Amino acid sequence: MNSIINTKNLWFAYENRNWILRGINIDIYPSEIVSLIGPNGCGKTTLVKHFNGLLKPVKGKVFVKDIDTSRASPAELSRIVGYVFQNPNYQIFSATVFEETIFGPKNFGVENPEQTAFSSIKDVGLEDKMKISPFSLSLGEKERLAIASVLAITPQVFIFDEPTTGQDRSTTKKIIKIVNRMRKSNKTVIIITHDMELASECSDRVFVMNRGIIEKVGDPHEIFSDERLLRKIQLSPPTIVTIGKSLAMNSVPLTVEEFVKRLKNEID
Amino acid sequence: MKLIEYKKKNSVIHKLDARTKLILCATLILLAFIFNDPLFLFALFLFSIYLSYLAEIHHEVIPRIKILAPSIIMSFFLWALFHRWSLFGSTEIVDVVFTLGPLTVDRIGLMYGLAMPFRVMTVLISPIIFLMTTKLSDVIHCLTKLGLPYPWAFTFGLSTKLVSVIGNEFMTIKQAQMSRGLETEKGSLIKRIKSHIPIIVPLTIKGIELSDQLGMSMSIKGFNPNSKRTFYRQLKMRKIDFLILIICLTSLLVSVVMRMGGIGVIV
Amino acid sequence: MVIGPGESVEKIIVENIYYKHYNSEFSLKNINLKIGNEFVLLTGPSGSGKSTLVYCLTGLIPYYIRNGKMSGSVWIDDKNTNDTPLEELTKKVGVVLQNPESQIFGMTVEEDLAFGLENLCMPRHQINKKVNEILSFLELKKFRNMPPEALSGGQKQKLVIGSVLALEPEIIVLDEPLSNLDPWGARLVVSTLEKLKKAGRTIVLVERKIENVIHLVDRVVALENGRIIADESPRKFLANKKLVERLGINIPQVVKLTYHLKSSGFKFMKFPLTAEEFMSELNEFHNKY
Repeated sequence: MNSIINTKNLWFAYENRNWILRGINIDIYPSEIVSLIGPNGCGKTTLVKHFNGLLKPVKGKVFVKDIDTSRASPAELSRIVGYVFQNPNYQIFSATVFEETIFGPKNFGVENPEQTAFSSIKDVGLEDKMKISPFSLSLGEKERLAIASVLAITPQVFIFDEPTTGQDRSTTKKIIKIVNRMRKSNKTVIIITHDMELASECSDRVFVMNRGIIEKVGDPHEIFSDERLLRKIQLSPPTIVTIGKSLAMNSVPLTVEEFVKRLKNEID
Repeated sequence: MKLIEYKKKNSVIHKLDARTKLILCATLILLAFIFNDPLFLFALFLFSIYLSYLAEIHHEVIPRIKILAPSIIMSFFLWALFHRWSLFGSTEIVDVVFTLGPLTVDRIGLMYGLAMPFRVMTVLISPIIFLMTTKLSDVIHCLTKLGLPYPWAFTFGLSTKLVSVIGNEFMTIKQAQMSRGLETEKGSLIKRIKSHIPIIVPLTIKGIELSDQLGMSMSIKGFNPNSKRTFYRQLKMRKIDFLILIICLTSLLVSVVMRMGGIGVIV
Repeated sequence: MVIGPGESVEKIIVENIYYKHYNSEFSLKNINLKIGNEFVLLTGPSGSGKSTLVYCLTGLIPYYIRNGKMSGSVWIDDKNTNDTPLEELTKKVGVVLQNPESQIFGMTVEEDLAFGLENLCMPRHQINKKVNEILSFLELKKFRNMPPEALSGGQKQKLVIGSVLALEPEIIVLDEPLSNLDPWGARLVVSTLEKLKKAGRTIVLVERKIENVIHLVDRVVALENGRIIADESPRKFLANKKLVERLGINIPQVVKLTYHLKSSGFKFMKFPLTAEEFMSELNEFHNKY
């Protein structure tokens, strides 16, 4: 299967500084949901900024849908790869929620921008706030607005940079719903996150980064039960994994629901 | 490239007291204005480059001068062609060197044209040397010791820090909006200015939030601009500092005398 | 809460606090609280008034925050916040807010720690001694001369805690210090909180990510819509499933698991807070049946 995003031996550093990315080789396939985890400073955000052309490789190549990113502008690539930045306050500037959402599609010449903006706002559950000033929204609502404004551009790939950091539980649940809905519409989603529960519940694959290299790629089970790997990047596994291992379960569950199901089966 | 940033080195200049460096920088600037003979100004310019070499920051200074090269070259032409209309130049035309249509360049114009770029560069290099060799807290401290009220000095210091913080935020916001298709380089001037609104609005809000939070943090650490405070870092004047101060003072006096006697002036 | 002989009982007394915004909304209603030398977790959904309460406990209301009016009194170690200047209050209660960037002032770690002490007019050699103590306590010695920008998020937050500790307050109040940190940074801060607890400080922590800290907590105070709706030990608090879910807190996995098992008939001696406690409860149960 042809990858939708591909990097070949990607190295990157800012001028005169240390290498941030050291020879990254990854493939991301259409319609999959991947999580990118790793300690702060390991290069996660730097890596994904190559996918929409904000950064260009110093060595190596990055291909988005077979387009060489060193030859394309951020505007071209952003049409294919949408990026929801970490802090929604970095983007919000318009007078109403609707105007904020329609900004992107208008810039990109999307067909029927009003319709797309309207349905994106509905998709994130903000339809009753359409005429309200975005500045009066709560933090969770602002995050959803940021997502809507990128949804409206109708890109094929979505990058979420730490969507649940600093958010409460109800917003996290809503974001998981939105991501799952994207899976149904065959979008490719890349999530940078520290939230292991989010990564376990949503991802098909998890990329673990450390100091500019990819340590391991695998499905959530493989990654979060790999004690040696987690110790290397100094991450404690989810509590459920620890409990599962103490009970000598084979194929350790990642979520409480899985655990309970497994337990019920074993009792029966 | 950040405009002016403290560079940590172990040079002779770095080790001088902040006040000495400030006076040194001020002396250079004054000398650059006392004289206007191109030879004197050239020597002064060379001396400031030498100081930057002593401070081990010459490789930082020179690129910054290069950036300003177009304006410096322009000042040569402006002075050479139009010195008669300046406040300080003479108004007679003496010894025409060449003519360019309706414009004449005379010997005095040529002298001014050669001299002014060196004055400008010296005046620019001196504060760069001062700020690059002195830690910000020392800058604040020495300004206070020289009489500036502490709140002013503190505000100055904090604003410099904030400038780099806001600068980073600007970049991030610009990238976020570019990812939504914002174009800032195309179109008419008005269009380009308008295209910056999606960057300026979030930035201003961030700036206001930041200053509010900073104010709050300062109060909860007991900050009171009007009451006495200790300065943790010490400023110590050593023998070499006094020596340099004496040299600065002497050179200023001597220069004033020379200037009054007509030396170092364009005739 | 067990009070030993001769120990001072109340560090913070909150009496009948109401906070009314100028737009007529009340963000705090009828708050009455007595906090002794303990680790208190203050929790609740966003907008429940947690931050407003923090501001009242630290003197920021009424001295810095001016968007409303507080009625009632807050006593910090026998000093009423309405009558005592902020500089005096900062010696009794230190505050750590969410965003480390806006709380760091120095050009180096050392200078930042010294900032509060400079404000107090402490003589230079004493400042030096204090800075050394704090650097050791926080294990930040090797960062002494580095600019704060070189520190990671968790280390920056530790630095902020350090600069607050420099003033030697007996009470430390922290407003969601973990929310912007990754798991690595959060771990650094939690280990610092453990040390502070061991050193006998009174700690009031506002957090929603309770998983990391619940094992340190002596008492949970929950706010909803500006009122206190729960004030009890962490085990009793967590055992109240309906309340915990209603408050929208990030429920730790151990707790979720315990709820499931309890509803299937498992009996727990005490509500487990950590994986180890859960395992030992499970073993006990296993042994009995």
